[in-house]
Amino acid sequence: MRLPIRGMLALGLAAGLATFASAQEGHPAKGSWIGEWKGNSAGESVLMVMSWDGKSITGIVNPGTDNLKITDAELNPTDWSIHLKAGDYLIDGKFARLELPNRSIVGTWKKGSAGGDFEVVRQ
Amino acid sequence: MKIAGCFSSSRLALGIGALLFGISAAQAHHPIQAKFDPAKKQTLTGIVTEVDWRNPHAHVFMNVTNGSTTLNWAVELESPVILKNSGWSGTTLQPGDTIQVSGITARDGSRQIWGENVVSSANNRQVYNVTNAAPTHPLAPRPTPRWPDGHVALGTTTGGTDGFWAFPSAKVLQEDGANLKFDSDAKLLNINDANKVAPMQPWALALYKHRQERNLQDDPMYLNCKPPGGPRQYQSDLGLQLLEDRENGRIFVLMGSGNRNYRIIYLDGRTTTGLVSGDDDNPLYYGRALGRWEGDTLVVTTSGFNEDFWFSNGGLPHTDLLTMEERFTRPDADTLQYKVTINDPGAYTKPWSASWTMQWVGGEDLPPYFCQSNRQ
Repeated sequence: MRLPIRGMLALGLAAGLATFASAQEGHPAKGSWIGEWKGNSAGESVLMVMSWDGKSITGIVNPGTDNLKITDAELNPTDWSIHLKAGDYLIDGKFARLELPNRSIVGTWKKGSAGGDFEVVRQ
Repeated sequence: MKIAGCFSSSRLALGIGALLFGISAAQAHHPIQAKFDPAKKQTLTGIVTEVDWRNPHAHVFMNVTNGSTTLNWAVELESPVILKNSGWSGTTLQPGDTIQVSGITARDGSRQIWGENVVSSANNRQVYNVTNAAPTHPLAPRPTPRWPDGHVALGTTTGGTDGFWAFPSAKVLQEDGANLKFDSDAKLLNINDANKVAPMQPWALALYKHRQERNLQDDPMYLNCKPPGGPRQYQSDLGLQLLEDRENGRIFVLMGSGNRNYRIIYLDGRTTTGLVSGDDDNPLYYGRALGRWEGDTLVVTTSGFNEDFWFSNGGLPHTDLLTMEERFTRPDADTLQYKVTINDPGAYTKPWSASWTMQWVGGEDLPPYFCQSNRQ
């Protein structure tokens, strides 16, 4: 299997940054997340920034185009699944390695008929 | 293979293994149950080969022979600070001594045992049993020390005897009245009681249970030597010292745990804004603490915490929205009453309180204790 150079660079960057993830023992969604956004015509990397105000998750998603405000966010702590809506994007993922600073969210995204898998790692 | 005609490959391997084993064991700082399984009890008899007397845990290495096989085991013990309180010293055991160790073995199957009891086989004398007993209280309470102006002293007064506060009556943060049962590592005896510990939001409760179910092995205070911020600093075995700098209107809280770091409580009437010029938005492990006296009670309000640490021994979550109100009272010379009200709308559904006492350890300075990071 051959990986595109840009994809490898993005993965390397994400892995490198993940090594230096700052500690975050509060709300698991809080922080900056970088990773892969497969199947996106504008690029296969994504940036998410999420915060927690005590009642809701806020922030932005940038799938290589522009910052899209998160307008809807639901975290289900029973299985640590998360649903986000940002612009026309619908994102469904699940936390992995919850206990680590460089935890990740893995799932799928959809925008109209387009869509794909994604994985972001907390920085 | 023989090396220099002296060591067989198996002996060399045993030696290197023991060395590496010793290094990894010596670096480990952790809740006991994160590394050792209470269900795996074992008793070993062997000959002491080495005593490693250092923080955060002392180790005794011993050769255990079973038939024709001899294997080196690491016996992990409490910190030298606590061992000394139990009458143990670095020379209590010597290489060559035959001992019997009872304890619990490592979860990962390695040859490590947490020593709960050590008996000398030569005379059947128990040489080790951690008690870490608090100092005996006098029959009649001694009066609360006061400064010349009559104000209560929370620490040592000028010319007074050194001392510090330790032996908290509770080592687990839980809401007053909950009265739940925990083990010595702050692990719930019944995980189904998790929702009764404090009024947690659903995500906080799920995260707390996750930490508990992983035997608290992710505790950043042990893994990364993060400071015991928040109320956790008052639930440490290693105590703390309250030094009152009355002239400058501040109280230093010196930690016996962590890396001897400290917290400052300001009583000079300042506001939290501008405490540290230019970094008001920089959250801290100990937050920014402002104190005032209400009669003989010191009331401290602290906010500005970061989220890089666990603020309780059992892994209760907090967020940077946390504000903490603490009330310190010294009803007699040997007792410090501590009450904390947690107001963290980021993690809890309502403010809640917890309280406990600490005991005065007079005539001594804080014991030296330094953390060693597990992630090196």
